[in-house]
Amino acid sequence: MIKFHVSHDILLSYAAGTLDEASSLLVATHLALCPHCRSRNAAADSLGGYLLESIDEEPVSQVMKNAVLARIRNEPPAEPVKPPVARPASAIIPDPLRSYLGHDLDGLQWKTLAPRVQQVLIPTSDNSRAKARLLRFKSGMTVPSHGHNGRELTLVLTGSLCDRDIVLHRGDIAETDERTEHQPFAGPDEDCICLAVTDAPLRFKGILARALQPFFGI
Amino acid sequence: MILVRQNMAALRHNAVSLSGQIANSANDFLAKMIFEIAFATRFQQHPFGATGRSSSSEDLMVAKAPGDPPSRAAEFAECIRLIAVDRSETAFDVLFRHFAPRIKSYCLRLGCDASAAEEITQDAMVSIWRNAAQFDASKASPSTWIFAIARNLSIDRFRKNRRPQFDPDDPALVPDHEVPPDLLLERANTEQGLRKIMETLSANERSVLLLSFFENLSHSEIAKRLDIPIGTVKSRIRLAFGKIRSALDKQDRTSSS
Repeated sequence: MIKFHVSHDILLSYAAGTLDEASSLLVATHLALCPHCRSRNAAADSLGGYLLESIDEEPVSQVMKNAVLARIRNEPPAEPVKPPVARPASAIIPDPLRSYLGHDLDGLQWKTLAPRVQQVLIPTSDNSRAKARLLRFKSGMTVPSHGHNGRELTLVLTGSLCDRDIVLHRGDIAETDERTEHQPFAGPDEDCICLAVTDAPLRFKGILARALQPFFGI
Repeated sequence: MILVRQNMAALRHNAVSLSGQIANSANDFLAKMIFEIAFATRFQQHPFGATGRSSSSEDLMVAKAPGDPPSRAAEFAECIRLIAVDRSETAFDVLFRHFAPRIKSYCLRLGCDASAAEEITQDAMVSIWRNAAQFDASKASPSTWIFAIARNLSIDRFRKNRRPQFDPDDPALVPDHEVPPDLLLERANTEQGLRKIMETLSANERSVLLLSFFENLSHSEIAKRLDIPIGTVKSRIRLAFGKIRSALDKQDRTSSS
């Protein structure tokens, strides 16, 4: 049962289409795991529909209408349903994240980021500063204490992550901002894999972590 | 004219079958009567195939007048169905006259120039034609479905990136709880419920929502534009959204009880 959901303002930006691609990837992956937020997302979408109804109209020329009519007359007969998409029988990482990675958990090429921490960078096609990466923390491992220069969204996919007195499980989202300094740690039972989206580099507190930061690029 | 008559018959048939679904719950006969009367009234106001005579000024009045007139959602849903099954250009014309000017307006507010706005509008209208069979009235109202098409095209064309979306048939997706059929039907009428909710929002809450949705402004930009603190922007969005959400919850509860 998911306890920590995507916030109203991020969900609204996603519905409006104004959220960057990396954060949208995290929201969409959460939606795959959370029926409650899918319902909230449908409400946010229908708000868009309502606003489209109440917007002032802009005149559309007959020339443009004729162009559209010419195009639809050239369309081939409609396909009654979408062509089937090949999907695996089961998966741990839901779409759309799995498509971005190109693999489910099995096929990933992990790179060591720090002792007991690995990552997979996830390229996005926009040029926003927001970057997405998959992180794997060894069970029981503590992330060095750090602050943030911007927003950080974390979506837990396997294991658990303990952060400031709360425990996040699969599907849960943690949202932190400039004011947050924290030292999350992975639960003891299994490795914690999460999707993290940051829109600015982290600020590590410890001298060693700070010295290593440029080499790891987080 | 024969085609128009066929469409009318199809519309009527659909109205009856839709009201038949409503009738599965209680008060069947009454619900059926009310639905048929409401549908017939709306139909007379907006005859199909009236050549080029746009009723846009009337629509505008309808959209903004107090007293919450019935929305044209059922009529538009029927048009989309007729496009899917019959490739009906008459039905497409109805959708074009209503939605093309709105999609263009939406694109302009996003910051597209006039030619990009026209291009996206054209593509959106063609996409409605092409994907009409995928429209599912139980999941979204016509204007919500069309908004999503226009939004996704504008992200694609104007901002040149992708909008990741969940796949409802993904093996890792956590499925919805069982949804009773009348709840699905209720969701199709979300737009009307929303109209009422929007009327309960303060002008402040509404202005924040509009800026966020249609002018592509971030919270900090909205704060600057309205000259209010960013915390206020966030709390207004939260309030407005909370009202929308709680009203929808109430709607869910009413329809499932």
